[in-house]
Amino acid sequence: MKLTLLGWESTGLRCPDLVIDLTKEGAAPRVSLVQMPNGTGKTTTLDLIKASLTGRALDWSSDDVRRLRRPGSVNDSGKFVLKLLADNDPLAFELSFDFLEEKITYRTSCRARGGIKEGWEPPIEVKRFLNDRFVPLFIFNGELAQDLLDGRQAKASEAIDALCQLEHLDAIVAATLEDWQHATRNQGAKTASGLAGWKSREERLATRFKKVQDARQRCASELSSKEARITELNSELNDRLKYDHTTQKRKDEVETRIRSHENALVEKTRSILQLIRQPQFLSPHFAGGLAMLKDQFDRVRLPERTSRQFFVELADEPRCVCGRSIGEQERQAILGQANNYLANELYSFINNLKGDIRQSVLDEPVAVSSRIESAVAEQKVIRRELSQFRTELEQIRAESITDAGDAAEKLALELKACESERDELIEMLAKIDEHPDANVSDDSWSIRGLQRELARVREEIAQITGTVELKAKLDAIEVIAKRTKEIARERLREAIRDDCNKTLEKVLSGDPIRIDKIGNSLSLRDQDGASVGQTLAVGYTFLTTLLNRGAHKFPLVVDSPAGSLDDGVRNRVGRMIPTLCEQFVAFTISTERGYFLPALEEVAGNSIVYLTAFRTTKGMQGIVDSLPANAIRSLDGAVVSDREYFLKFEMPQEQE
Amino acid sequence: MAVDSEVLVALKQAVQESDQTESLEQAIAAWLLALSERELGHSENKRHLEAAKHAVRLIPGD
Repeated sequence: MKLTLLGWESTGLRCPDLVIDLTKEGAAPRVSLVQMPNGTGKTTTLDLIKASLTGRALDWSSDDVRRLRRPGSVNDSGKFVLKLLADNDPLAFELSFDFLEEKITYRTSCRARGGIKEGWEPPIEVKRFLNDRFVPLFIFNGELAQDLLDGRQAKASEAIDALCQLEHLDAIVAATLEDWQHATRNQGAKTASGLAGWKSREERLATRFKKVQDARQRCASELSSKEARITELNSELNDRLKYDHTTQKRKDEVETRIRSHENALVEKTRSILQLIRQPQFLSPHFAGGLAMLKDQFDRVRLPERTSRQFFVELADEPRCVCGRSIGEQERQAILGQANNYLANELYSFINNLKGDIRQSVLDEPVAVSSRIESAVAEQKVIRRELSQFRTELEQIRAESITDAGDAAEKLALELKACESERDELIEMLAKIDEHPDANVSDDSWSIRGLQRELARVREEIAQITGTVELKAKLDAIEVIAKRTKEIARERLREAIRDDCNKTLEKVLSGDPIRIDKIGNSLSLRDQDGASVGQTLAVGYTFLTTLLNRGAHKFPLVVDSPAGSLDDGVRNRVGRMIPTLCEQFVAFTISTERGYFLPALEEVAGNSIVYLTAFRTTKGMQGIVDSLPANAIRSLDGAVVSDREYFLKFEMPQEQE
Repeated sequence: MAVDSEVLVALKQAVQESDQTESLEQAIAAWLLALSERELGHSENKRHLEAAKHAVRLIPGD
């Protein structure tokens, strides 16, 4: 990617209204010199160029915007347009200043993105470089070169990280941490020791579950045998029992009563359950509450006319009840509003509910709870009598067994033992099959409870296993990302150092200065410090090597490139810069020309544009009056594109 | 948009040092690319998350 600066235009801003064209014969030359006396708005222009490139003006405060208004002016708006080439495609950023609202808006003109677009929308391939970390590396003042060699700062390291996007490796580390926190947000045990605890519980529960399962199978099998044996014994015993006529009659009567009471007990229990299903019979509180509900419905008064159906039918009529005709628009409005009213089915439901309450609660104001009490009392009587009949039958049977002799008694004893064992087995099976409690212990008999708890523990283990494993995986990625960053940074530093030294060898053949190491800053070989010239040479070399890495080309835009240099150094830096980059744009003042300009011209030849731009104040009247014919004038500024004019231009009061 | 070649070389070395597979190296390279494209608004966040998940899946468990 190659970025070329073509020029800019400013209107209504703190800097004078100027149109700066850096091109020569339709193309950007190797060197563009913009001579601007102090007070012409160099700093403002550089800030606006940076803001155009980075899109950062959107973050400026009202004060920041206000400060860019032309002093003493009443204009409500201003504009700055930066023109570039991204590879060979024209690209322009336009910043519009609204001084009334104190706001800035962007427009981007770019063929690759479909022409003019609102907002800051550079092409994707350029956007990567247009940020706060990168732009200051190619639009800067001389101080940056010094900062690169300053061990207290980390400018060199930051520049490499920014260009090579090493921060994406930090993003990977951050993402692994975020993943881990997300995965473990609602979990207790996150460690291997927690996992061991759960696994031990699973083992205990699994063992218990197996034991209970076996017990159930054994009980069911034994119960089946026991019941078969009981049937056999009963049959055998009955064959041996002899009843006389009176006893037989008594026995038949008792058995009939038992059957009739068993049926009565079932019926009574059923009727009690039926009563319990009606809340008004359970407690007077329920009856009172239902009466109150009906009362509330009565107060609400829901006339049938307000039902939804009324409006639905009205919508089909040609005329409304008020006499106005109903068209399609009115019809839709009525149907839309109909939903706000009760539908017929809902209205009917409420009426039915009210009717039921009236009939079941209000029309029967008896002590409703007494109906259940009397039913339960009747059930108790049936139970008691049933129990008495069963005891009587047992007695008849016991007497008959005694009369039948030893063999019958022996069978009866075995039968009793079998029945007792059967009851124990039934009890055990009930215990195993019972509905589990909320908390299931490791020695529970509830097979369903153990099954449920085992599933829960296994789910827990699965989750913990997942997170423990996930943690190990994320740790592995974090180690790789951090190590990659270390290795990449080291390799990049070495590669850039070697490239820089090759360039320094070429452009400063008479000077043995070389970069020894790139750490946070640049360290020079065999020397503790460097002269201003050496600092600039090393700084420019480092930046241009870095910027041009990966076949990218950026302009080098420098404010006062020779301002603080002595004559010899100016000459050397002037010779060097055009060899480092394809486009060098310098903001200069007249006092920087000596020794610097001849050196630049020696290397760049005719590929130089000479621009002189200044504010046309009253104090400049003499200069304004003698402007050449090709000068471009504006409301408060002038630009001259001419070498001779550039060389002769002087401002007596001008200072660096 | 590409990831710097030196970063890819470094990634290869780091993955080898950690005894992980070449597939993981490729997955992390894809993840870096997705991050780079996300920064430019060129791809959705979803793509970066998918790249991350894929990389995690490629590391064998116990």
